[in-house]
Amino acid sequence: MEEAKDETNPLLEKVKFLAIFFTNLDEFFMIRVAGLKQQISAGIGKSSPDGLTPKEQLGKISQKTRVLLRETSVQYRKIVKELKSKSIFIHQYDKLNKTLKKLADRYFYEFVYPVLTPLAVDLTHPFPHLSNLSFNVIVEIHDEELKFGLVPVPKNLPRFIKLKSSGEGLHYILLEDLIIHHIESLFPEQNITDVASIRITRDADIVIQEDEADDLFEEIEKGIRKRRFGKPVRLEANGCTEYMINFLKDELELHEEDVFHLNMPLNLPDLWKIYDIDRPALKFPVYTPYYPSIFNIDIFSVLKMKDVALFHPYESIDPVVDLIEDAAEDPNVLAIKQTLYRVGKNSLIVEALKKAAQNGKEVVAVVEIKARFDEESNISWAKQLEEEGVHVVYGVPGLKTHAKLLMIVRKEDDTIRRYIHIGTGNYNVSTAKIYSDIAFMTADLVIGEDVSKLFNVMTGYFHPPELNRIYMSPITLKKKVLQLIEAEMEAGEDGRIIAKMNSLVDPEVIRALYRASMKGVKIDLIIRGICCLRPGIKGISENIKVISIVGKYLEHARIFYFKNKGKEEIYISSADWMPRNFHKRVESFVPVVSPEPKEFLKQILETQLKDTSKVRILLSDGNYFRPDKRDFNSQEYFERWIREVKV
Amino acid sequence: MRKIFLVRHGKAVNGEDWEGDDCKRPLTGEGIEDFRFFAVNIKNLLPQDFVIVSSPCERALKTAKILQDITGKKLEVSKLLEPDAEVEDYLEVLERYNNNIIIVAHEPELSIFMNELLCINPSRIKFKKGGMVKIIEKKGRFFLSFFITPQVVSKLFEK
Repeated sequence: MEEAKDETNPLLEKVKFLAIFFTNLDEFFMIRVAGLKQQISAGIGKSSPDGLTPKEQLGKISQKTRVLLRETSVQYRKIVKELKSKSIFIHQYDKLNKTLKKLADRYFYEFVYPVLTPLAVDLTHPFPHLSNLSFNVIVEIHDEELKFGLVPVPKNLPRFIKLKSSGEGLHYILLEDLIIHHIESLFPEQNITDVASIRITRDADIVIQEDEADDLFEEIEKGIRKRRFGKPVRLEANGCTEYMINFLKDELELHEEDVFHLNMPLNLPDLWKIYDIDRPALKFPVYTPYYPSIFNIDIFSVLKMKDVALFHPYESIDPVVDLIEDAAEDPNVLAIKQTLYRVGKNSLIVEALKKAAQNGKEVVAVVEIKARFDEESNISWAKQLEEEGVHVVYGVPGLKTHAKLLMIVRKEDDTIRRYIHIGTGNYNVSTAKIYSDIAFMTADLVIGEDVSKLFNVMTGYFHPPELNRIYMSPITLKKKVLQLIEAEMEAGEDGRIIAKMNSLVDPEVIRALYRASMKGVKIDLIIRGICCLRPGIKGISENIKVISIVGKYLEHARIFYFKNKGKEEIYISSADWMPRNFHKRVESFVPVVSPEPKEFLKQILETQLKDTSKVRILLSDGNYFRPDKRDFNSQEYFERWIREVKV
Repeated sequence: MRKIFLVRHGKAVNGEDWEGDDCKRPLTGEGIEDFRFFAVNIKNLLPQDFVIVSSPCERALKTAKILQDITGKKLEVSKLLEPDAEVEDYLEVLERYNNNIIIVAHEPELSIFMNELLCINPSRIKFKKGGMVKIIEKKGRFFLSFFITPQVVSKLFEK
């Protein structure tokens, strides 16, 4: 939301941040709020470490959401005005001039009306099912009795309907606005007294009973279907709808705190469509990720010479794709094994793996189909891979495969070599342009052996493997993290920790960090998302600083620095410090030992600590504070820096 | 209990016959006369105490001045009421002048605002030129009291 307000961001980027805000809020309700509601219905009244019961938490969330939504509606209208000044008009039907009104009416009868389904809601009709995130126009009808009607807003029509483009000018109208103003054509001869738009959010946290599942695949498919029918958790409404809201609240078994009146259109993740408007001047300048010239040499020879760390999106993910593509064609390559979590649509990586299988290589894909909200797409390409002869394995029962590992086994002269890629982000070519992640590539023998064992654990029967250098969840990762913190404690005031991750939640690790702070260890935490640690509390955490960086790229890398009495150690990881990452997932925590990448990673951390432009500093009361002087943007700095430090 | 009057400006020179700044478009002679007759006759429907707030555009401002002449109340101009204003701009005017108020402005913004206040959706009540609506605000909720037009007044009083 702050980024949507930030005047230094180009207009369409602000629109994008607004869209992200709404998407995140949706996910928050579908998962977190739904989780709290599940706890309540299971009769759990126990307080979490902050002393709040699930019910109290829900109350606070509801309040805070209302404040946020009020701010958002002001910002939405501001942005609509700004768009207008750039000749992008989002019109209200009531304000259309005659020409545009004619166009709007024609569009309605030609394209919208034929696909609409007006549904009667009264005693003789059952209440229609409203699926998750379904967006509807609801109608109040006063005949002899009060009754209602519903019109689902079709998903396959553009939400922002382009009425006309003349020169620079683009004229849009919202689909529901058009429906509302033609509502009488859908309920003819009825005395319509009120119309509003509503949107339902349901519990989307699908629980898979893996022990009982004969076929995980089928279970997930069932789960996705079930998501549409999860318990309602939120009702959003735009319009004056007292009767209707009360009626819906009863039907959906929702409470007052679950109902949100929005003073703006609903379903605004659709703002992505406005972001897609081709007006480069209203967006960030296009940044071309750097392709390090070292990769112009044969990639296997490079890795034999040295380890390489890549910093996305400043550096291109193409070398990684090239690596897999080369491996697919290389006659000396015997096997390719890879974990896949969220690969995205039309993935080049999936294509390369298919090709490798066609070329007779041993190809293994450890697929995590449970990756939230991506299950549907994951199932479809997993099926494709299987058809090409790839061994598709669905990971370890009960554990999500979250580690991002790639191993290429190659025959070289008389020996076998393993080439390893370890990432902090997913093998997803499109998100690698927006997510900031680290990739580490090596031909190191010890790491190679560790990764090989890890794959065996994931594809065979699970047993704790004996690894030499990599630490893994759910076995050794958390223990190692705690040990590293303990070791800094011994150094006391000479101790130093810099940790960058997305979320810090685990109570045990947080307590260890508090203890380290009390011993004088200087701790810098770069945590974009949820942080349950409170910094700067006298006698407890006064040596801890927490910052969050939110900018045009999504901070996603997990990098950890420990001073270790001068023998500095740097790790990269797929795991946040959350209980779920420590206990419920297969994750990796990998030391980077070769000097060049190690120095590179350290510089990344140190640079981020200097950010003043996109930094938010966590205060001891849990609020974030943004400094006024904003003269150093680390993300923009990295765009230039990478071209200086990398050849 | 607060009383809110919304007034659409009287009959103005046709937009198509007017060259130059639309905001300067004046009322016609007939428009001035009709509205004055209207204002004199509805004067007794107005409360003791109120402020007139007008859009800065000539046709609204002249209408507001006629009201000021007849009632002797204070007239203020607000850019928030210019043509093309948003509902929020109108709400801001309501907030700024926290007492009985007559707002003189334009269509379609006036109807959109009125329908929004009164929860009439989709908006179906439209203002005629010189029309006046009275809305009562009670504890943050708005109720329609009456809606009259110069035509009604001329019929009632046999102009």
